[in-house]
Amino acid sequence: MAGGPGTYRWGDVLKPSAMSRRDSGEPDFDGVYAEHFEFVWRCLRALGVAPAALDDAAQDVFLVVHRQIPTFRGESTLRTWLFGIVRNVASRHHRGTRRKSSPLDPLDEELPSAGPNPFERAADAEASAFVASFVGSLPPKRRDVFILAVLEEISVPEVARILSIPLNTAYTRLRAARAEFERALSRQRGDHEQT
Amino acid sequence: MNRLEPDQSQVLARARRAFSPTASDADRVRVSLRAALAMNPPVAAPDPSATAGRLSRIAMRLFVAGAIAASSGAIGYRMGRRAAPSEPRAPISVPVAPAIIADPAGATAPANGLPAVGAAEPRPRPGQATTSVARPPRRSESRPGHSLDPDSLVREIEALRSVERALRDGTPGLALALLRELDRTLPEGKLTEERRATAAIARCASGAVPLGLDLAKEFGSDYPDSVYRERVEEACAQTDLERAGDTASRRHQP
Repeated sequence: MAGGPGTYRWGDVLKPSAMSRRDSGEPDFDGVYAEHFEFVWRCLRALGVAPAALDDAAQDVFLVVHRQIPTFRGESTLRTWLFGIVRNVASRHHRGTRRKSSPLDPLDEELPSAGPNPFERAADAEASAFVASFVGSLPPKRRDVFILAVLEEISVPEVARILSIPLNTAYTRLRAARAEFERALSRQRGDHEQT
Repeated sequence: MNRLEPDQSQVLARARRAFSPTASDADRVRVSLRAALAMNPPVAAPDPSATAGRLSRIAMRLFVAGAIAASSGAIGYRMGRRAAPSEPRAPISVPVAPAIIADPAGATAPANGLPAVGAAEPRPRPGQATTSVARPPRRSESRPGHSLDPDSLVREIEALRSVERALRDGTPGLALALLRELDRTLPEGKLTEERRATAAIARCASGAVPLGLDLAKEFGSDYPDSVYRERVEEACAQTDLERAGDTASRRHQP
């Protein structure tokens, strides 16, 4: 890839030297990646992107970020901007789509002993499945508020800014989403007790 | 706003934990991102001035012309290698397009034992015939149904070169990410054999030796006459031996 217009020197990508903060004040890509990767990943997951497609979806998000970061003018917060990209990318990835596994797919490098014990893991998996299903059942407007305010624990005023909606509207949607969550959880508990 | 009930908070905390990425997730995506950016480098912002615009258009035309010439050279080179000895051989312009396909006899294996897949061929001296004339024909003939798109072939060749470079640099994870990105962006490539060979090598080099050995075995059965076969097997066998050596030395430690 050496030489020619628009070429990229090997190793120039995602290195602090290549992605240092510009004089214009635009955020540096490496910093955005380090600071917001978890947010992006969790939002993609909550928006229904299948675990097998998460790598591709997260990569797509940051490719857009990389391409558009020079045009980011700070008129919105970084999270507002990122969430917009995440939402677009998530909508492109079909909910529950399973990618065909390939010999090039990364192996699971997590050791079995890492993290919580099997019971905790099972409980986490059950809770995440329930929440994912619940979020998927919400209308998009309430869903976005629920993800940001409840799952991401972002303050309601900031959620209102991220979604560009009036503060009262944000509160109304949040209240409705929480009420639905409570009902869904009660139903699930009831189902569990019956079985 | 009312606070959540404890059971609701617990469910949400568990879901949050399950949704959160691990450090290896972040590293993996970072490597894939690096591969994707290396394969699709950002184009420099165009100069607003008219002169610069004209120059960039000329440069682009030259680049496209070079890409077509390079792809023609690479295709001609491949066809030359694959043609039967009795067939007349197409002129091969190796100096224009350093071949992606390794020389089975002439290429020197790098120190790390990785084959020279994607490495530049030794360039012939002026007046010297290209070495491909002496090469044996290959069983894997041209693949029907693949359109000859010079742009995609050039991209594929460049990507495989990057894969090879990553392997030589000792970054098999990046090599795998580059191959994954190549599969994603050009699933119907023409250099399937080269992709599979490098994938097996990268797998072995990344430490996933059993899977790499399986891939090498599959590669050997699918391409029994491949010029890469021996190198793929050697690369995987070497890493396997190194691993066995490590295990043995650990076992002998007091």
